[in-house]
Amino acid sequence: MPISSYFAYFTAYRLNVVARFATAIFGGYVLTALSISVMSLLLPVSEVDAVLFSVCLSVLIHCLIFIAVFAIKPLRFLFAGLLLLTTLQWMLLLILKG
Amino acid sequence: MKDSFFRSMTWLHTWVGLLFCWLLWLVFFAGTLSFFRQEISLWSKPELHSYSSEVQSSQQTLLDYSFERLNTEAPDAARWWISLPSERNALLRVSHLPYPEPGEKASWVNHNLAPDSKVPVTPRESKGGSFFYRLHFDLHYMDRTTARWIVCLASLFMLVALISGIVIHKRIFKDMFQFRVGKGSRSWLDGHNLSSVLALPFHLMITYTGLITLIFTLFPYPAQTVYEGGVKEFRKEFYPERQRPELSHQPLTSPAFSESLDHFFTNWPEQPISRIIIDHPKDAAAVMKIYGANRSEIKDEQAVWLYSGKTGELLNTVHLEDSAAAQLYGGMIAMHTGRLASPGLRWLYFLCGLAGCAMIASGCVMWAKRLRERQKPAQPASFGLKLVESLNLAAIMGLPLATAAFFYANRLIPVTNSGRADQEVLMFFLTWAATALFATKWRNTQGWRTLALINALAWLTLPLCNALTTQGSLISYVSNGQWALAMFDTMALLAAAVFFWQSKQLQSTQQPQRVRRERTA
Repeated sequence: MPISSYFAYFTAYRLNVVARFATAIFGGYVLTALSISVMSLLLPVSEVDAVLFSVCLSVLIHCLIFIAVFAIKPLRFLFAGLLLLTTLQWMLLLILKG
Repeated sequence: MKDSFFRSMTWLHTWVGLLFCWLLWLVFFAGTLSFFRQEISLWSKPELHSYSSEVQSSQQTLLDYSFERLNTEAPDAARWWISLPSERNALLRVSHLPYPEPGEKASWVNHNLAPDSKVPVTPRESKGGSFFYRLHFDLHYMDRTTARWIVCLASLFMLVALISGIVIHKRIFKDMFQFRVGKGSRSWLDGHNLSSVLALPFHLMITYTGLITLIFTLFPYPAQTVYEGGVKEFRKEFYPERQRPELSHQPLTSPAFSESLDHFFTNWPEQPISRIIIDHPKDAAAVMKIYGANRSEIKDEQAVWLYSGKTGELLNTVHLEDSAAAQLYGGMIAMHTGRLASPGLRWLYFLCGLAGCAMIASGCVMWAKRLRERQKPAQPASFGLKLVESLNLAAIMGLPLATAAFFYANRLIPVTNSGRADQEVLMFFLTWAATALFATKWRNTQGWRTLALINALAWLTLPLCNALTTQGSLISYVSNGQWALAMFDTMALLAAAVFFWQSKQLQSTQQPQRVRRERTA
């Protein structure tokens, strides 16, 4: 492999890594925050209980997103999926809150 | 690049593990010690050693005495606080908080009393086990909220590392029975696997529930979505016992506290009390809050009975019968803190915590070894490798040494020094900094060996230092049945033995081979 393409490979690889980490941490956080907020409004229990249930599940949700970000191969597909989920939940939240 | 789920998980495991491994080592180490928070605090205050936790007086008698005392000593206080002795804390504490002067903040006036003789006891100023407890999630020398965010992020990484670690471990059962000694990084991998897999349910539980304890810092959004006033309003509803009544400015001439106590003792005779707090004891709005002791139930919040000070009637009971969600949340926190644990279970918690420390330490060391193996022998060490090796040595060997220094400082700093609690903490961090300096220069096997020997010496002489500076010693602790103190000394000796064994191992191998070390409480 010529040196230049070797270099390009590593640059691409590192960019990929940084992008996935940033997505997993920040994107995962936002998506989790939205999911549990929606959940807290939808759960058919008292307000206190809805809050408690959703925060208890938050870690699990963030963890699953984290893993998914690294498991889904094409970056484009990953970003599109996350963006779609985030937008949908955000809209749902806006509708629920009126 | 990453051609399979399996490979991407291997990669993920390595990187999330490594980015935070030294911080996680600190969190796990301090957390493991915190399971014995009360016992370490007891050790740190030799003035309390002569008091047995077996109390003759009944709770009723102790309360009557405390009320009488507070009535004469501080009738006009803003709050009264009575802590009754428990299995892990032998003293009766009677405290009051005066109303603040305009523009000032009032501070508590505490009296620790021997429960039967009512003799006042003044223990030395020391953070004791609470230092390690706070260090575990608030770190030190930094803003609390920032520290908690950092610890939260590290814990999340830990959880991701655990899950991806399970995914990449194809032969999880077979490897558990395999330990290849003296095979370089292969041995380290085996050690890492062993400590991870053996206590895996514990690691998963403790990391998940650890995040739950800080969850309202990390994810306040559901509370903000559901409540107008956000987390504050949520807490108001979930913890009504934490609210203070408004002053009515009507004097309370004949308080009904003893009628309320009678009511409590008649209706809940089996329920031991852990503490009683009275807000505005001389105001008509006075509220008496009786906190029931949690025994071994898996719940975190204590049940609270709120009584009116004026009429003596039961106003409210809180956390007596929790909803499913509250049980889930409280149960997770209770499992994390392990306050529910009997001594046997507490030791199991401690052992699993040690396994977690071993898992993190062996992971760090394995990484450094892999980096070194990848380099050609003639090649000078890269900056990255130097950094990793130095940090490994400074963290893994420095933290136990700093802990020993903290305990020495506890015994050797004069009791009369003002601010001695902070001086103990300073000694802890100075020792750690010194180790880190040492590690920048000597990060080879010789450096590890030297620090192992220093650690061994420090932990070996700690019981001796204790015997010379206090009334008791390991022998008297055993003969008097003071098991908490006896176990402290035993663990120090055990730590010394492990460090000594480690230094022997390092000496006997030609090729740099580091041996995992444990620490103690």
